[in-house]
Amino acid sequence: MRVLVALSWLALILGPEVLLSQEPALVGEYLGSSGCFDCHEIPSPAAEERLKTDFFINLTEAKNWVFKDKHARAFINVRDTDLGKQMLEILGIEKLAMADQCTSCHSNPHWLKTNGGMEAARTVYKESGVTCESCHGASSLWDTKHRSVRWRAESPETKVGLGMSDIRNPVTRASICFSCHIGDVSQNRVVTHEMYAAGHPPLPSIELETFLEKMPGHWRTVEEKKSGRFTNDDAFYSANGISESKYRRLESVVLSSAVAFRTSVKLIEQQAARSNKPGGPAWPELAMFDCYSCHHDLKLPSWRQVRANEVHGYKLRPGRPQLLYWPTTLLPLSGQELDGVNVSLREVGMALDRRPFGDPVEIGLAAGKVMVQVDDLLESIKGVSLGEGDEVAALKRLCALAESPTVDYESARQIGWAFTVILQTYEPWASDAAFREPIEQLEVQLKLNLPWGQEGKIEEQLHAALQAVSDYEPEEFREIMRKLASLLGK
Amino acid sequence: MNLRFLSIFVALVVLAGFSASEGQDPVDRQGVAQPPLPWEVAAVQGFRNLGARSCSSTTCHGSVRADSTNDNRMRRDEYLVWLEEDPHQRAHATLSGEQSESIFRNLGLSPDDQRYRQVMQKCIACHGMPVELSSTDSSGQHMVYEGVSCETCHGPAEKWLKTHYRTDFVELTGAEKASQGLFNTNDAHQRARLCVACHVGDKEREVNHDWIAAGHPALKFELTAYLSMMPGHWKETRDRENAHNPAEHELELWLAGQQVAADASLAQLARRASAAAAGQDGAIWPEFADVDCYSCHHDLGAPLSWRQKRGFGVVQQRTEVQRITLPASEWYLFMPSRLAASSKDAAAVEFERAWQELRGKMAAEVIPDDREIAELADAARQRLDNWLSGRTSTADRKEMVDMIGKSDDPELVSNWDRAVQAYLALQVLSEDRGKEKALRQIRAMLAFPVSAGRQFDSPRKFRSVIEDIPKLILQFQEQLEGKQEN
Repeated sequence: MRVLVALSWLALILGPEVLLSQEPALVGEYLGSSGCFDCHEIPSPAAEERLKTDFFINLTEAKNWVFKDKHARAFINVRDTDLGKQMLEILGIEKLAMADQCTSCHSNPHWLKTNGGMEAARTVYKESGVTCESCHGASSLWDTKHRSVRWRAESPETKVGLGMSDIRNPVTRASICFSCHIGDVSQNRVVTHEMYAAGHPPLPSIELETFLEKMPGHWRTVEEKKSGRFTNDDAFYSANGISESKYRRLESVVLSSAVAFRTSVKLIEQQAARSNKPGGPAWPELAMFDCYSCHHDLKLPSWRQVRANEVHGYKLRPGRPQLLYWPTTLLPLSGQELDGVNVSLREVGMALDRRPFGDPVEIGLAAGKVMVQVDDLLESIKGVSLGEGDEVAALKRLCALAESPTVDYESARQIGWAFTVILQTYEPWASDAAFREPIEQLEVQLKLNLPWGQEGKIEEQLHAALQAVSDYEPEEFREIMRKLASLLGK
Repeated sequence: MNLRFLSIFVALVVLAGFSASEGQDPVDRQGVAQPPLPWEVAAVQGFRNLGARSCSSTTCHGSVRADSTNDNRMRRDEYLVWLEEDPHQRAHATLSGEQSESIFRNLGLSPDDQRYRQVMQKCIACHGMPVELSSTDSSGQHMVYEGVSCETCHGPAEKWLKTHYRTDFVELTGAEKASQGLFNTNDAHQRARLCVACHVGDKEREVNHDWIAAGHPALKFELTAYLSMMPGHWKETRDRENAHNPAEHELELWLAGQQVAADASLAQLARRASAAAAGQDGAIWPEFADVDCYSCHHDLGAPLSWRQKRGFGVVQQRTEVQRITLPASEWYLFMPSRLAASSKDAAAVEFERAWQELRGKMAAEVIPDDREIAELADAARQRLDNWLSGRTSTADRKEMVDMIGKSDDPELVSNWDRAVQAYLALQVLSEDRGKEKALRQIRAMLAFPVSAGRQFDSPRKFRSVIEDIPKLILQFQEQLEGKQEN
């Protein structure tokens, strides 16, 4: 165990590159969520009493998660729905609980493995989805300790050393979410093209602040916490480096979009590395590519032809499939110099242009160079302290991004989500009715409201969602963004 | 150049019974050359093109009115039909149109670019009489602007312009006329070769996926369908006279078109694969133009889409799907394959096996092995030739109906290419020029959608036809059978 702790420290010292490049070392053991429910489901009368003076958390997290959060149903929504059954049949999977390629995201695979697999999944409903420990970390070493009010004053490093994820850190948080929502080979979290073809709904682009808001959250945000007092609050804020900043959401949008880019490049690098190994899977894994590079209607006139196969950083000759590129969309939002990233991206482009789907060796090398650049970028974004006028600057940048010829449906969504979130944080405009109409138009055109929460059924909305991608016209999107831009100018 | 295995005598034996194996032609065709195509005549024999105006005298082919009597074998208004109605006439003009400009722009080519001229030469190989490629004739330059004109198909007129209207010329054999440079468009096979050179492609003519993505329409050729759409400048009675079985001249054209186009498409695949295997400069592999367009360019239906029910690639059993790849285009091979599968002819069986092996290998990986594909495509071509070049029996409509099959066969319409080829074959069998209600309904179902100012080039709602078309095919077949019984 000590070795594991030491390894995770080493990983921290070496930085995120090492942390993400291999499967995160498991610190402690998974206990399952039952224990969490003892406190986090319904507060006991004693806890109710304590909550009056200790405003740290809700203590209703588990209830919220079980009844509202889709993650809780991640497993049974595959096992028990028509779509899930169809996928399993097409893919030839007999027991979902034994299929690592599914459970790596749709459950807590470690827990499943150590707790009887199939049988457990069938009988213990609470344990079968994306559970508490999937995000917060294996709890055997901190389960007891964290019940104390002293725990909140501990540093994130101490907690990570015992296996609890530093989920308040926007970069860590984003990395955890994106490991499934974008993918990570080292954790076997990859939606393959075969899975898509068998019926897996397309992974939508993801703007993390929006998704967290709609999840629905089971936590108190910093702003909510600050509206009350709790034991050790000052020690908590200082241990977590939480300042008075009112730009937390803006910062999270910028950082998490850079992490989304990092995760997608990492995925490409990992896939290339896999294919370059003797006996590895054949190149290419089509799921790394932009779905609509191929799956688009053939029509004239076509905005795709006007775009002339240009994306952020490079341009391919017509007819060459593009890698998934929405993760590049919000990079300029940081206002940071992107020359380094762009130079390396151009190498990816050259490798892709040389032949359809590119050469895995060249692509792997180029993606590795992008990784170095994006880590530098992340560091410089972290070094910026946001201030007066930064929301307005960010909103204006988003309007400018909409004018780029490279804005496909997913990229437009990223812009739309980011705009909506940032607008909410800027009070003079957050409640300004003039913004309401164009924002609603964006929501309709881009279907910005996903089937959030357990009530939203992905299967029911999927057809309309896919139709919206086919019908998307960037010029209609730009017109709405121009309206918003003119409101910003006032 | 496996085309050399075909001989000009093929035409005499081509329209065979579809399951008959008797009468394999024992002649070894190796080394028997195909007659050169018109532009090759100009290049090889040095005959000059004289331009469309040399045909356009009002007493020759430039009459303003068609001769509709039966006294004459020709219409006399050929030049005007071509000039005013035939899209071939605008083939060159289209290169300076808006869409062509957009294609050049998308390919990153501007007129002051050195590469622009080279690319333009490639366009002209189909879009203009390719005199620049084949002749040093100084007068040739301006003829590019005629588009695809008289001599592009009928051959350079230098030698025959002054002889071809004389009675002694009419009595000459095809080969004798050819020696003067007149191409034998009367022969179904030769006509198919001529059209296929551009409409499918050959050594010097190719539309690849880069071009299609830049805006060039994808090539999907079918001889009888194209001939029926082309404003004909000849009398249909001529087609009948020239057929081996006048009552079934359309069947003869259909089979010739299928055979020649399948051969050309296999040759093209073999060329692309071997260029890639040899590491040739500019070789593209995989070349998406060899792939079924709509295996990728389809709407993503969801959930429980008909494609998911159908299965993917060449694997039809759902549980066997392990890897989704890019299935070979079946546009040119589906009907020959279907024909072969319903035949007892050993050569047909061999062709079918070779094609299925090629198809399987194409779908084995997203990027199939180029060397292997080159060999398999060549082999399939050889088998196609062995089979179809050796036929002697006559056409049989009923067997053709059987070939298309009964409506309960889901394979017949399992993708758009297949469904359209089946429809076009039914159209050939039609006794009312495709006006039967069932055929009109099938056509409407397969048509691409049109929506506000936008032209679609993909079957957006194909899923609906999977269940409906077979019923309509059955309806049409019953109608045909009913007529035969009466």
